[in-house]
Amino acid sequence: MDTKFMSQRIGKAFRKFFRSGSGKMAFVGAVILVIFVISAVLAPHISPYDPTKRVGRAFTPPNSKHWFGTDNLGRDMFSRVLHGARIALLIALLAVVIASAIGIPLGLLSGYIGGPLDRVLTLVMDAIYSFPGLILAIAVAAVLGTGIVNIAISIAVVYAPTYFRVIRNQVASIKSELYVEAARALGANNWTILIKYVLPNVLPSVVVVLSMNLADAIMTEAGLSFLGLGIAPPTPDWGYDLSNGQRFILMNDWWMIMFPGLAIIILVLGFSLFSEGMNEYLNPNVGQQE
Amino acid sequence: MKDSALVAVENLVKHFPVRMNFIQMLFTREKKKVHAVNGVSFKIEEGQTLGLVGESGSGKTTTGRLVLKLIEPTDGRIKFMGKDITPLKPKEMRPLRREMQIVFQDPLASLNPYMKIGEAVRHPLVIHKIGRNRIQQREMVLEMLEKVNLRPPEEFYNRYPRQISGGQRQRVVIARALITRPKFVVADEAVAMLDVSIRSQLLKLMVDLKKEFNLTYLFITHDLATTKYICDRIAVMYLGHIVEEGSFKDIYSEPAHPYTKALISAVPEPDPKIMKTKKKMIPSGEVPNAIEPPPGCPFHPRCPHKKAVCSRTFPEVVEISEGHKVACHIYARR
Amino acid sequence: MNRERAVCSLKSLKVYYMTFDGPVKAVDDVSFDIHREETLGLVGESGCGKSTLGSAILKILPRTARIYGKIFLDDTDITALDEREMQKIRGARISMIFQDPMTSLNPIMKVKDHFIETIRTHRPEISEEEALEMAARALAEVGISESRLNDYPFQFSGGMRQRMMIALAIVLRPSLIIADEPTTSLDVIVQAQILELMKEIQGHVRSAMILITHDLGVVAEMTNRIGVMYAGHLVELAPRDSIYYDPLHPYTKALLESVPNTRIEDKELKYIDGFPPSLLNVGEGCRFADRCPKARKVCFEKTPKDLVLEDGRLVKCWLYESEGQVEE
Repeated sequence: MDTKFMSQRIGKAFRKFFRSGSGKMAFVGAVILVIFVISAVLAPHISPYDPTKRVGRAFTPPNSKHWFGTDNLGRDMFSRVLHGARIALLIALLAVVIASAIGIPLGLLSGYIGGPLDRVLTLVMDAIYSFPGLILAIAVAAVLGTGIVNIAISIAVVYAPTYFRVIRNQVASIKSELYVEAARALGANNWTILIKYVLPNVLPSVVVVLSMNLADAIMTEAGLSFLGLGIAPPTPDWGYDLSNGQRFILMNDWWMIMFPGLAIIILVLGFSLFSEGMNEYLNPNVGQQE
Repeated sequence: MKDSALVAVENLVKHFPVRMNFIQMLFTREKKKVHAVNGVSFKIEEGQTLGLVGESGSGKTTTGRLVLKLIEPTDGRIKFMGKDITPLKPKEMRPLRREMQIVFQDPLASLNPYMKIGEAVRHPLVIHKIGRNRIQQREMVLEMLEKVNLRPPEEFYNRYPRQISGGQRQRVVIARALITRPKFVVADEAVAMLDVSIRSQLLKLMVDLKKEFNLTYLFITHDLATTKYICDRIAVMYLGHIVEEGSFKDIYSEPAHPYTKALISAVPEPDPKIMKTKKKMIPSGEVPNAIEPPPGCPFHPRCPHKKAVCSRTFPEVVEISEGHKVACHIYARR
Repeated sequence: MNRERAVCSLKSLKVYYMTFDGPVKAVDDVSFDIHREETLGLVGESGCGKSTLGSAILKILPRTARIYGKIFLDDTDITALDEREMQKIRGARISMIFQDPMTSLNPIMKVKDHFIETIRTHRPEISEEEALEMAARALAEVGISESRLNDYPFQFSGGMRQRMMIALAIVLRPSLIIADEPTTSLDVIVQAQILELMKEIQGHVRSAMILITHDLGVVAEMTNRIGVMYAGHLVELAPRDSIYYDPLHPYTKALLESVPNTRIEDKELKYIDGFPPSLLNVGEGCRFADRCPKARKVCFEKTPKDLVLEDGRLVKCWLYESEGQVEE
């Protein structure tokens, strides 16, 4: 009740957090994410070799010099995986930023204003949503061409409807909350109500969708690169390395696909654990027994 | 003649469309409507309190929202401070909201969970651009919090609604409603969710604040007993109509309408002797649904005194003694 | 007083909710007996533990709750029974009427299926036809026609649903009925109808009943004895009229004064300042002390004992220390 010290409050929050399984989940997810983000940021400094240059014999299995082995052009796989995290996270973040920049405002307006605008926007967004994601991304990527921004845009097109739907539905239900009516009775205009009363109440779910989408975006990006629609080749990229590696799978060169593959799986898992855990933590109806 | 009433409504009607699914729409010709309010008229003089009493489904809450134009009436007129506000658009209503406020039943639901208490109370000042700056507004908020007995106000300013008790939350809502110094406040079951001891505290507070700020209340409640402490006049509603109106004494000791009589006899008194001697006139059945309300007087299917005329026409309002009005065929002028 | 053996008796019952921050002492050291044909009213404000107490007797508490003390039903201590044995008791020997029947009835089961299930779980020897007959009789007792057996609960209005719930509660003639705020969600007129019905039913079912409510008006008409609860303690237990006309505990007095009444002459509304304490890790001392006008030093330091006065009334207050005997 009377917790005066910040540290005490943080401690209390942590204790509550860890009591539930969801807290542990989110924590494990967060640890994974932090490791990946650090290695992505520090990749140029910590990777032992230049990821785009031939630094050893081709097809070297993992050893003490090349922890993850080398690929068919003699490039160090460990360095490539580290740098790949950079590209993967960069594109995923960019895509999610673009998607939310489109989806969130449209969702807010559509849900709040309602009527014909809502119906049209919902129809358009549902049409996009019902498209298989990867195929849509391929189509857009094929039109736009390769490059970091273009890839991000093609992924964003797939995920903007997710934000739109989540936000729109939330807004539509929050709109009928008593505190919104109370704000109207106070004389607040629509803009104020939207920003001060509706938005803060939808943001927690945005956080959850955001981290969930990051996971999906990483997979989609890898998929696009795998199909050759991603980043131009010398740049290290997990999806490209996977597709490169699988050509030599019959030669038993497992390390070429295992390490980028593992990187993708672990990062996606990290995001999922984190978002799932946060979802339960942020949702006030779960876990409170007062 | 100039109308002295602060609030006057005439023949207020509100029908809500009933939601139908696609199949139903194919097979029904006429649109079904909920007849929530069916021609309600009343006046509230400045500084007076009108109690609006009724069971659930009587239309009392809808009436409260209509008076503030939080919803648009289907028909009828609303006058506020002598001015007809019925045709005003929502945008034109906004500046007027400074003068008219509402306190809802559920204080937790009527506060934004992500807004600190101080900010919630300060917000009306921001909306109506009252006070020179943040610091001055903060001062005003602290003063208001103190007035509703949230002490020390500085401590409450930075708390979130979840961190305080139900009674304290309702005090916050009242503070928020009164910070712009409105003339008129609708209290929609404002104390119904609170416990007995807390409820009395809040009632007392509302009475005190009324005196201090010269407020006019529309006090909506299902609980007849609470009206005694705060209301000057009481109107009893049944199925969208006001069936009787008068002072607490009129209503309580000389109820005229059969429905009012039933209502009073059904109130459980915290006094076994009264309960033993009290005559019970409990009508059978429950309030009919408002989609197809009974024709004529809405109470006639349950009324022990019904006559043939009751199912045909809605009775005229008759003043049976000074200020005591009733809408019932029993009292119709011959 | 009724000298025959109690139907149900609680012996220093404690119910604590275990939370991460410590125990919430929702019911603390409550003892009372209830006899056949008697209606005991339990009144108190929200959070006083009255509903927890009702649920504890049926052992339908959430998993975080711990029960200490003893609950005797006839002669068995039901706190020692396991879940299987409790299931045999619920619905047959003790039944419960809830505030909101809609949440305690399965919406996709017809009324008759609710009855058949309840009856046949406890008495498998009864055939379906016989069970249906019993159901029809029970419905007739609450004024519902037999034809409605084939309806679903949502087709009933609020009052009818509560009637049905009562029929379901009495169909196996339990020895104890616990009614937890049975009329709180109803309008006054329907409430009056249901209360009338409950009185009538109890007249011929002849079970014991615990009526839990926050409304001092409801218990004024319905009960023989009234227990007043505050912050987990049973602060006073006395025959009905004594509670209303000669309350002893300062909380009972204050509570009665703060109830809005309809007597035209008193215009002044009294109220109790402050609010109930948090029950989390609550320590020694009378829990009403900081709102009590008569509080002394001892009130803050030691929890008063349950004092039994000469006329058999129970009060938990230091003011009456010299007048009463400490129970047990």
